[in-house]
Amino acid sequence: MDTPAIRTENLTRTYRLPRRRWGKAPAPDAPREFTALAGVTLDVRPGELFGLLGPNGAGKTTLIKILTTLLAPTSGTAEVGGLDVVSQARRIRPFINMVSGGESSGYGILNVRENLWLFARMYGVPTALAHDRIDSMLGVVGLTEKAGSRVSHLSTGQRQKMNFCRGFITDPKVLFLDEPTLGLDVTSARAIRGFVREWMKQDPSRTLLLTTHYMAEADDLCDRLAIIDQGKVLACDTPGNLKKRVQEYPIFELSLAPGSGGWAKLGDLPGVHQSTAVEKPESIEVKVALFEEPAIGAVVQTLATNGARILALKKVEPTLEDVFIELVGHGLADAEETTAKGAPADA
Amino acid sequence: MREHLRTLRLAAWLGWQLETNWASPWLFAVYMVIKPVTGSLMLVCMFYAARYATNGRVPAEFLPYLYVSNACFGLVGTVTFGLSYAVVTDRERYRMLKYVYLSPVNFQTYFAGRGLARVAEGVVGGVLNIAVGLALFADMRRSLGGAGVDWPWLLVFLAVGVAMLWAAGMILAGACLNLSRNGMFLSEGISGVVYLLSGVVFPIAVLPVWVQWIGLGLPTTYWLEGMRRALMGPVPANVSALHGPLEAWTNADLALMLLATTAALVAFALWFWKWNERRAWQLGRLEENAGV
Repeated sequence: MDTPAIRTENLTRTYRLPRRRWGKAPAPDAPREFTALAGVTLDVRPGELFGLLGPNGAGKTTLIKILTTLLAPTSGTAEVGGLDVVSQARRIRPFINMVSGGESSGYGILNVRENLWLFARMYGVPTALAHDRIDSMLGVVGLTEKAGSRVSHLSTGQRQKMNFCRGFITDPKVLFLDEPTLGLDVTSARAIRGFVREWMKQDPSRTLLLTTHYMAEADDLCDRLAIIDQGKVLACDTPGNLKKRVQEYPIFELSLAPGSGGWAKLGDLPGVHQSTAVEKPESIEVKVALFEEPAIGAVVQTLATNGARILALKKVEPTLEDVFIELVGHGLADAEETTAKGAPADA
Repeated sequence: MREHLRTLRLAAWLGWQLETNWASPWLFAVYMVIKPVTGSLMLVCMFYAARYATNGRVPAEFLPYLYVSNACFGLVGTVTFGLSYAVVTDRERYRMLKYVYLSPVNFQTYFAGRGLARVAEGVVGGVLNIAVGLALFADMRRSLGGAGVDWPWLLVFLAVGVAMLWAAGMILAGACLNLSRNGMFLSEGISGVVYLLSGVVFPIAVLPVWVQWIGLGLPTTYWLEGMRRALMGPVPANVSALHGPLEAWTNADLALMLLATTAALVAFALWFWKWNERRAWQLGRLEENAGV
């Protein structure tokens, strides 16, 4: 069996919270520590595009910091490429890289090309190859014309794109993308998602761990996902399997012309679990839950036989948002609001 | 070894770019002269004020003593303060410290490279400062031109001094890893104490005996004494006001003591940096910022 590209076992991280401040007495009921990760166990296979989905403060960034050797775990183990992040950090660093979205980092006095070249050289990429990769990556994110511009003259979004390039020019075996499209315009975000997909296809040994709180992004990109909230992994599976959790039976919605018949009999058909209908002046809206998807053929045939005119037919797909609500008990936006009011933001 | 050299070169290049490219070359050149020279000219004014107030009882040799010391001490401030500043700006202004840390480069070597850029800046500043002093003041020309510069000893003291300054800088930079952006004020404060205790603008003989002992524990005291002697020769026997506890020491004694104290400082700096790096990793301070 392949060594997992990333493996964590019972990984926990707590932060001690400052209690004393000059001129301020500590609140007697103030918590002494904050648990950002509470026993996270995960396996990410080589070649996998793995997503961590959760609201702000869920522990996604803390997990990435530990895996990229930037932060010590409080307990538990974490390995990248079979190497321990605590005792073998130096051996991990040459083959990993990280991009944090939503931040405007970069040496402002250097230009874009110099910034990228510097980091490519830090990873031992020869100068000529570094320039080739820089040109190619700048083309991907649409920054070619800004190659000679000082970073301090770039907008926040452009800086973010430059940082995205920084993550890829070292050709890492394991790449960590922490909210890579946060704050980017729709076109750029789409281009980046497209590139990520292509980049993964180019070399099957590459592994990518993506954190996001954009459900559609996670659904679109990830082979498997872990839903994380308050430092705990609530579920881990493929997006399809996760959605099956909230929808046991495939559901179809049919819109029938007024006066259509046959819809009242649908519940009796073999293969149909449940059928409901709402009569409206302009249409009859029918919803059928099937034991198996192919049973939709019998449904359509029954309606046609009974003279019904089908105006529209569509399959109802559950979203990751539905999965999230099912698992967490609230939507992602609600969780973010709670985080903004209370929990430490850097978790 | 190749990796270390590459890191050293890249970091020195980065440091030099960050230090020099904030203005046009001409403006930067003017800054490089004005910054150290104005500091020295303030001391010169104080020297002439003291000489005037005491009816000339302050010996003329005091001027080159404090001017050269101050020019050399500029290197202390540039390197030690510069390394702390590199930690704080990389983390909080450029927000790149975490990316440097998680890259394959050796973190300590990276900061050694950043320090090299500051050494270059400090040496250029010091040379320009002394050149302006020579151009403006006859007492400077008499002192530096009298015995001639002792180049071999100058190179010895400069080489060991650079190691000493790097070590001191790494100690302060290490502390800054675990302090917020205001941590660099620690460097300013310590630099001020070292300025007072190392005999920069007066011989340490004027300090209380117990304070003199503290001064004699600092490698900067031996380094400054060595640099002054290499540049100006020994203090003339008739100028007792400038004599201090190191009067009877030979250059070799000074160099050996500087080497010993520097070795101790380097050993401590290496340990202290590692300790702070680990602590910052444990506490998550490598990317903490104070909201600048």
